[in-house]
Amino acid sequence: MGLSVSGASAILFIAFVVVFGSMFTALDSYQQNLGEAYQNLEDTALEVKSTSISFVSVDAVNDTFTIENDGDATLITDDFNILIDGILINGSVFEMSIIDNDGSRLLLPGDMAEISLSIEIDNCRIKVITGAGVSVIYDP
Amino acid sequence: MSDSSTPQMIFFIAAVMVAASMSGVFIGIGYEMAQSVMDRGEEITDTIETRISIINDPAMMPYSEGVLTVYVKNLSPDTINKHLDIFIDGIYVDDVTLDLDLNDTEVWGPDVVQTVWIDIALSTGDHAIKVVLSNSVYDSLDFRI
Repeated sequence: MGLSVSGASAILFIAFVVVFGSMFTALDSYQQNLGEAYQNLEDTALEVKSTSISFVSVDAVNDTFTIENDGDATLITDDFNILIDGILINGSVFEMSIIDNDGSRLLLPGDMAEISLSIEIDNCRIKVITGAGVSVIYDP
Repeated sequence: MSDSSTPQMIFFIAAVMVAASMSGVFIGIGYEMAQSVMDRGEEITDTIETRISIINDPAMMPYSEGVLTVYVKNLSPDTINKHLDIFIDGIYVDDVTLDLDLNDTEVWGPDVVQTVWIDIALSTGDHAIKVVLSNSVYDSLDFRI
């Protein structure tokens, strides 16, 4: 009788350890995922808050315009989107170069970028959107 | 000797079998619970990290011949399900064409803009659009035609 109780108890104890182990792993993973997600959310919110761009000039004759990064975040020009009169234009229609740093993809705080388009922008509304979703509109 | 050991052996086997059965049930339930917790964690993480934005110019919405063109940008760090539910002025619209061809990709990756063509008759004036992902994350925009 004693051996039966001991054997059954041992089996139940092992089961308890296995269940506890799997629950602990799951809760740890849950907490870690949530922690990372909230950290990413905070980073994104901070990036959005510290991102600001503005139009410096628009040259409708040469179909170029210049924008400046007047925020605190470094922006990646590949992530920019441009709308001309509400129409999204793709990368083959415009070229973006950082003034004094030709070939760079990074628009550092204080940097200016010149965007040349192969379409006319005379009297057009221009909207530039950054990778973080921050945008600026030029209204002629 | 054999008369007294046989019932003990039967008790022992019965006890072990009952304990093993109960253990199997406990482990099964525990595993299911652990899996549910992990799945729920991933779902919540996915919802927290997912962010989309309608990047249209609200004063210059492309609308011609009854087709409204909407640009939705994925601001999440990961790829997301490209299925979208569209509501215009609070009414669900099912005549929608989604396209990622502008970016030469079928995957809605980070920073990729999805073009949405909506067949709808809109009067001149103010309207509102709401774009909802399958995980209930949404963005909305008030615009003028």
